[in-house]
Amino acid sequence: MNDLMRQEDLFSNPTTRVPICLCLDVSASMDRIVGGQTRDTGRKVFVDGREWNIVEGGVTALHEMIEGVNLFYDNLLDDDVARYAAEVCIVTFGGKAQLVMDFANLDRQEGERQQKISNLTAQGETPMGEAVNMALNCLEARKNEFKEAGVDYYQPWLVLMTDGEPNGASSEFERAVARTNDLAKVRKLTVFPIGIGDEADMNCLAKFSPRRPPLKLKGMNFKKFFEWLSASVSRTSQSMPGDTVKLDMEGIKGWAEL
Amino acid sequence: METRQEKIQPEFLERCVKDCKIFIDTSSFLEESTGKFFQNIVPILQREGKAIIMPKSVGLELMKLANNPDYCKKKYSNNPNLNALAINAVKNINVLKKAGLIEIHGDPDDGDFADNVFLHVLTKKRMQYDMLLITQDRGLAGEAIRIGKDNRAVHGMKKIFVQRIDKNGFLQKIFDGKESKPASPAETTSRSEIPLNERFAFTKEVTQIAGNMPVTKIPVAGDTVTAVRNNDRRQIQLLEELGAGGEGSVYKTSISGYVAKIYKPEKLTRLRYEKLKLMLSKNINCEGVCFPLALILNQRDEFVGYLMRAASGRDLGKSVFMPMLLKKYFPRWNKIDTVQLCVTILKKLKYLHDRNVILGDINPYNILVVSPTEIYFVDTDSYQVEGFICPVGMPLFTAPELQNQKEYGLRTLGNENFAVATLLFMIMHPGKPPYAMQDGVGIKENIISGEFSYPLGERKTGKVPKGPWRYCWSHLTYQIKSTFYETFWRDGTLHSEKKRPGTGVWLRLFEYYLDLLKSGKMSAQDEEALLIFPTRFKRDRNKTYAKCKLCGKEFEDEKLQDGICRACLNKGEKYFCKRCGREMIYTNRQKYIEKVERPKFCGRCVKNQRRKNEVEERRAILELFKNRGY
Repeated sequence: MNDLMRQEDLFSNPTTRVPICLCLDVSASMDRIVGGQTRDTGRKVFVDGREWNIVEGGVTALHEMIEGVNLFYDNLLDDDVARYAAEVCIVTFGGKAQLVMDFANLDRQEGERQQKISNLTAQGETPMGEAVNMALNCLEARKNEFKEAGVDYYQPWLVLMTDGEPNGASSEFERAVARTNDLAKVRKLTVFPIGIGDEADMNCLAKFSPRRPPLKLKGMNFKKFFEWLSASVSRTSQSMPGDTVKLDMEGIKGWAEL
Repeated sequence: METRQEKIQPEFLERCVKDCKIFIDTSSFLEESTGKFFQNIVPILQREGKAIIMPKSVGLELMKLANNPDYCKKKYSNNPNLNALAINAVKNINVLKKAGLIEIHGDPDDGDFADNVFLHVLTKKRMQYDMLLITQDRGLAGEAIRIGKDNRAVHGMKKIFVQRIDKNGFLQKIFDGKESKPASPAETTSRSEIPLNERFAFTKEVTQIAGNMPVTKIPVAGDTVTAVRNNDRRQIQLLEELGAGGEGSVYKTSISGYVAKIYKPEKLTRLRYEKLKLMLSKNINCEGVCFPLALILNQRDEFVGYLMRAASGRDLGKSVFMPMLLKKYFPRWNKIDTVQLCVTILKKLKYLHDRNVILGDINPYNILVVSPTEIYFVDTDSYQVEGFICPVGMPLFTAPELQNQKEYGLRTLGNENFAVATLLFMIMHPGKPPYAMQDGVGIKENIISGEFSYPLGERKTGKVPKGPWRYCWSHLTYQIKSTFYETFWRDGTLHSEKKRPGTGVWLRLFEYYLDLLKSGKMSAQDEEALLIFPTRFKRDRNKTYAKCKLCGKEFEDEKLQDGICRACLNKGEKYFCKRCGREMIYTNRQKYIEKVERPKFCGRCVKNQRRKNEVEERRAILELFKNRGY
């Protein structure tokens, strides 16, 4: 994306921004089948910490997640205020941490959004720490751009979703935990750690979130979750900065195992 | 005006007799029409068992005038009838005294000057009684009005009304002595001139009432309900639901143009019921302000909501405050429209403020815009009236003195005027909050520290947000800029709660601006005057301007070189070095100022070539020497 256009948005759009980092697990285990018809190929593979049967057909966890993220975008774009307030950044971790979408107005991202998100593939290990650090770096950079331009913003959100346990460098993991905690404790970051499936390491996720415990996604309810998230963003974007945003706790029941 | 005054007269007089201590000054006793006035007031006094108060000094003065024609001439030489009027006044007083309708109060330290007595009594009793002073004397009226205005400063103070008797024997407003010229529209209604039946009282205590109202059924679309105000009951039907929110739902009703808000059961508190009853006790009638008009009762006569006028339009937050949506929904708007919008909003705010209604939660989502002259104020049931507070508010519109408070208590007009200034700023800089700035810490923090980044004359911080906002600011009138500056900047003369400009001040400034824009005066000076988003600073009358020959934008003369602006001088034609293929620019400075030809090779290649040539040359010379046998 053109850097100048990214700057231009900061100058001409006065709307108070809601920066949201999606930090998503795309390790090989996200290729697990979670629904649909499958046929066993009889082949096996050892990856991302365990042995897997290879099948054809079916719906993967990644596929559900991609649909959820696209729905998230669609909902935000449908809302007159959220459309100009929300700024989304997506970092994935599967083999390596990767910046899929950097912060920008949603309209700017629209050209490449569908393609980039739909082309996500599940592969490799789970370097969660590296990914969180990358997400925080992007966030810091964007916050500085906001400040330089004189744009107001709400407390940023970090959504961290994983179906396993981190197996990147432990130093990176510790650093990511420390940075997240430092920000969350002074209310400069709202963290939503979310476990997918039974193998998600909830203890690890808990380390990222000093203020609220991690939640486990009910089944593969990605859509419900992202619907809830976009509604929360919409509500935030219509409050005024400094208002304490009350999350819709009742709505959480729709997607989380409580 | 006259007919309205006459219509409300009996009611006003009635309320005054009931609620106020009434004082009459010497000058009013000496008015030709005083007899008519007494004809009006005596029956009410008799019915209510009340009396008018007259200081002893007034009586003494009238006696003196009645008994001594020479004294009349000496003191009031311009009125030949004075002696006769005084004799008549004394007769009237005696009749009233016998009927017990006038009380003569003496005060040991009165002195013999009645004016002092009045001012002394008004000051002393202002915490105890609402008072009405009837006088024809502008000087005295001015002093009395000023004492009445103190009630902002003195908590819990009662009201002081000052009126004169007109030629028909009716009470009329009296201009205070210092006001020599007729007031501008913004000032024509001073608070004391608003009839009592339209004006809420001042209180310093928050009204607290616990508990809920009993309710067995919340009506829904299709149900019949009763709209009640005073003794007027009317059966109406709830039609389709128009919207639902945290407090309840709004329905169309069988009365076209009117809608009903029906609360959720848990929101039907006694506090809300009492508040609505109070709101309905006054006659608040301002086009576009969707104020409660009647209570809505269900079929068991239980309180469930209220009736109001229907609103339409898009809220400011989702139109004017978002430049992309402003363009989408109001594509034809220019500066005249945004300034007109400010005027329209200010008139309604002033109407409410004059009646002691404080909105409390002024924000862009409860003002709906149809056009610059047609707007609607909604969510009026949250407004603060008397002791009933407005429990909500948005930090962006919250005055520094109220930031970080856990609860909103009773708000003052000063608190509210901060929100008014913020709202106006955000209309003139569509959507940009006044305290957004480069290197800002956070909205709340910036409001508290009074860190305002926009410049005024030589005073500047250099932190104005990037983008078109500085140009929007630059194009405002100087008075509006300085009023914003003094209000928002921490050391500004209007920054503190009590000094903040009210709606009257802003209305005058914006009406003047509107006039300048409509008359074409602003456009004559600067053709960008009508742009909501100008592309450059306002033209300075003391400087001359010219257009850049290349980009056509306008600049100060001295900033152009041979008619070309700096930005254009550094731009130019892109091409590639003939030798190495590197991208090069043949700048407009080279082309038009230095007038050199387009170089074929890039700087580096030229340098290399030169070095190569030198080496060649040296070798050639050495060769030459060698050949010659050196």
